[in-house]
Amino acid sequence: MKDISFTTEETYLRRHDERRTRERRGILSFAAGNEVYGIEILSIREIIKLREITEVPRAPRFLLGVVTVRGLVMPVVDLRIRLRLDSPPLGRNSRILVVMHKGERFGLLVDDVRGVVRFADNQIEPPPPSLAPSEAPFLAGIGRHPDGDKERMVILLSLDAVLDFAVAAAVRR
Amino acid sequence: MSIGGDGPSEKALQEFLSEAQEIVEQFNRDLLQLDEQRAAGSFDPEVINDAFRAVHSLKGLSGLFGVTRMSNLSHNLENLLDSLRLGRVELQPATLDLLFEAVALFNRIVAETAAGQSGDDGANLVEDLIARLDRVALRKEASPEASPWGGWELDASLLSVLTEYEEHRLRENIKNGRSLYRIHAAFDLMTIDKGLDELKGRLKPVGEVITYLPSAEAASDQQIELDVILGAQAELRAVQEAVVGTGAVVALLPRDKGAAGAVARPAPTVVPESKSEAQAAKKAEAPRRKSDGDDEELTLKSVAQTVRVDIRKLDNLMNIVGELGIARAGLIQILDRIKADRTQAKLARELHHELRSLSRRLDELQAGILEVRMVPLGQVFDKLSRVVRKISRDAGKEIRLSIAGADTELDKLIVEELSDPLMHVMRNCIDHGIEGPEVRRAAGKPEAGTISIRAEQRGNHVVIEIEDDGQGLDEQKLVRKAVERGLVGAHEAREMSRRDVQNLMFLPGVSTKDVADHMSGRGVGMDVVKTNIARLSGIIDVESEAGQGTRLTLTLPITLAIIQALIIRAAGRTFAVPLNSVLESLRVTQNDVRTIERREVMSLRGQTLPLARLEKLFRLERADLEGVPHKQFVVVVGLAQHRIGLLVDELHGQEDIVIKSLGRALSDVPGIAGATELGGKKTVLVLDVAQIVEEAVSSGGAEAA
Repeated sequence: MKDISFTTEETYLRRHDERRTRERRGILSFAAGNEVYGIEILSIREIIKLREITEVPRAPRFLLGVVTVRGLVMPVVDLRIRLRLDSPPLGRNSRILVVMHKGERFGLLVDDVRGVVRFADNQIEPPPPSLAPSEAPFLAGIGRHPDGDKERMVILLSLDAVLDFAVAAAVRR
Repeated sequence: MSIGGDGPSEKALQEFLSEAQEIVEQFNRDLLQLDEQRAAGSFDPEVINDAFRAVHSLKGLSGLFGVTRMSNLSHNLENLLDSLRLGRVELQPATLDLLFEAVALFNRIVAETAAGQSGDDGANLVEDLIARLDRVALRKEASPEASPWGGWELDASLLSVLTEYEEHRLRENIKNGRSLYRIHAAFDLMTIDKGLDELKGRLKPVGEVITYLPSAEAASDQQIELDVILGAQAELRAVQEAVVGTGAVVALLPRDKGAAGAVARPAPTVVPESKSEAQAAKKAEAPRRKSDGDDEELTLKSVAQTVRVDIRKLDNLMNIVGELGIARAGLIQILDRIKADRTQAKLARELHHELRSLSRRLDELQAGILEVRMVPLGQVFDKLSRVVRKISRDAGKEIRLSIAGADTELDKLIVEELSDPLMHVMRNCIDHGIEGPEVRRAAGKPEAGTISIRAEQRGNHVVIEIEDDGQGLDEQKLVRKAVERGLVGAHEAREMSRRDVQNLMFLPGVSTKDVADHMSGRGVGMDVVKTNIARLSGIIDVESEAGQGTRLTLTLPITLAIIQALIIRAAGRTFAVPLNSVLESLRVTQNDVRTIERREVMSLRGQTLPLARLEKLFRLERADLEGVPHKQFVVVVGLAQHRIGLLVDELHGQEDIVIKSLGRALSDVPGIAGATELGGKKTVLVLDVAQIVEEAVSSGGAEAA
């Protein structure tokens, strides 16, 4: 007699989990400074063109100010300054990535949006230890993917680290 | 834990919890009223009945939702209140304490249930409180005196039909030396409910309706005749006047002359008038139940004609109204363009007309939403009364709290945020302000200290004054402390005005009490209170007279949600200044600005007005080469007594704005209250005037931060 096994909730969930780990993570890759970075696509709400940013006094330099998107006011972080990169002048390709972080929206100013790449977990390496200590905390890993005969590299950012700043403490007397 | 296995829906549970919260708050108000009346000598039995009913509904509701801890507690509480109602147990301070403890525990259970916690330690607390409640409820009081009726000749037929509660009330009335009246009235069968209610309504101000019974006398088919038994301090004539026009006949019950004087002693009477309007409103709304609360059936219909709404939904509506306002501004611009075209005059007129009616409706909509957000300050004051009661007990001081203006309304968010700062103020008054009983007696003051809270609306602001009759601020000590801690220079300290000295109490680390006791040692000082009030765009001020007391004045805006703002430009940036803090604006030239000790000032009607430049305050660079224009504007801003002039380049008129938060990361930038969107997708920062004034005053104008 053939063994008929029913899917229990448990096995179903396990399979679902396996599928998810095998599934590739979608990463939005973009240029900032002269590097290519990536952020998990799931945390990105929308990508908007550059618009007038209202400067906020007493905020750190990387915090360019605030913009209103669909009625919501959000701070905009210049990712290039935040990551201590060169800041080429803003141009036609500059964009603001609207990301959701811990229930709040932030804008990230980047130089150019490249597109979505997918990585399986085994294609992502931990950040190399040789990095400059100033940059290291912002990095979540390095993703490599073949592109034709070349191999491309995307530096994955940790939003937690990039958006973890307490302005209040910095500016209070 | 619940009915039917899978439990009530999340939404239903939320509904239940907020209703429970409301009932607990009502219960708390009843208790406070009882406490007050008890202190005055005699209490209104209706209040105990109200408390009983509140707990009764709570019991029913919590049973329905399977919150066992709450239903057990209410059940036992109900027993105790029943005993109080029937006079089996006397209302003593210790008993009231237990009841207040129950309020705290109810609040805790509500909070824990809302957070989805079962709260195991809470269960022990419930058990413990129940045990103590039962002990009081079952306590046997002294048996009633031998001659219970105080010489009143009461029919055996009357006595035999009284319920236990009614009999108790009868005894109480006699004990308090009131006279008993029989009011005979005839009612039409069809309208007896209304008629009886009206009669009771008229009698309520003169005395207490103890019971009403069908009259022994014969009645016609269409009529019912009732005898109302009333206990009243008033004379026969006064009672007769009260019922004049109803056709009712009043008679004093017969009384054995000899015994009269012996029992009737003048008792301190409190005319039980409902203190708070809220209470009265609730009474009017609630279907009048027979005061005998033995009937177990609980109505499932909600009593109040209200809807509970998540405040975020209102915020959302407010945002939409804000966006509509922006759309309206856009339409007005289009209208202006059409007007410029002579050939389109008719179209322009029509559009103008339509726009005007749209504007009017939009304003109404906005006002309507704002109104919905308003809640009476009484909500916080009730909580305060409870806290004051507890703190004063702990501190061994007797405090009388008097509250006025509890019906003053403020935005819900502000009211919520006020409760913590106000609680600290109370704590401060009791710990530091009001002296111990011996000291007070020696100073010739009444032993009980008084804290009075007064709230009132003044234009766009609400002013809350908190005054105690304590020892006042020790100004020398304040100065010494501030100098010791390096908060002010010794030289500076000598030149300070009295006001400035008293305001030192708001600086961090300055406390007049040297030893931090267990209460004030909680690390929350008046500086935190001040910061919290400032966060609400409010300002706090102190006035104190040694030996006589201290008065704190809080000035708060009515709402933070939508405000009128003056749009200004300075150093190439646009800002919005909340109009409620703008006193006036005037045009000045550089010649009007003088410098005193490196501070810029100008004279305004003979007074010196300190000036502040936004670009200096915020360290903004001027992009334009020509620098500061020769002609500028001064926007005089201020809250309470502090005022300064903001030097700005241009004024751009008024707009209605919705203040939006800058998000958590930027929420604490000093001087900025938020941002708003003006027409043309432009985001503009809204100045926090209270903070800017504060900074300019404390740091001497421009060189702040």
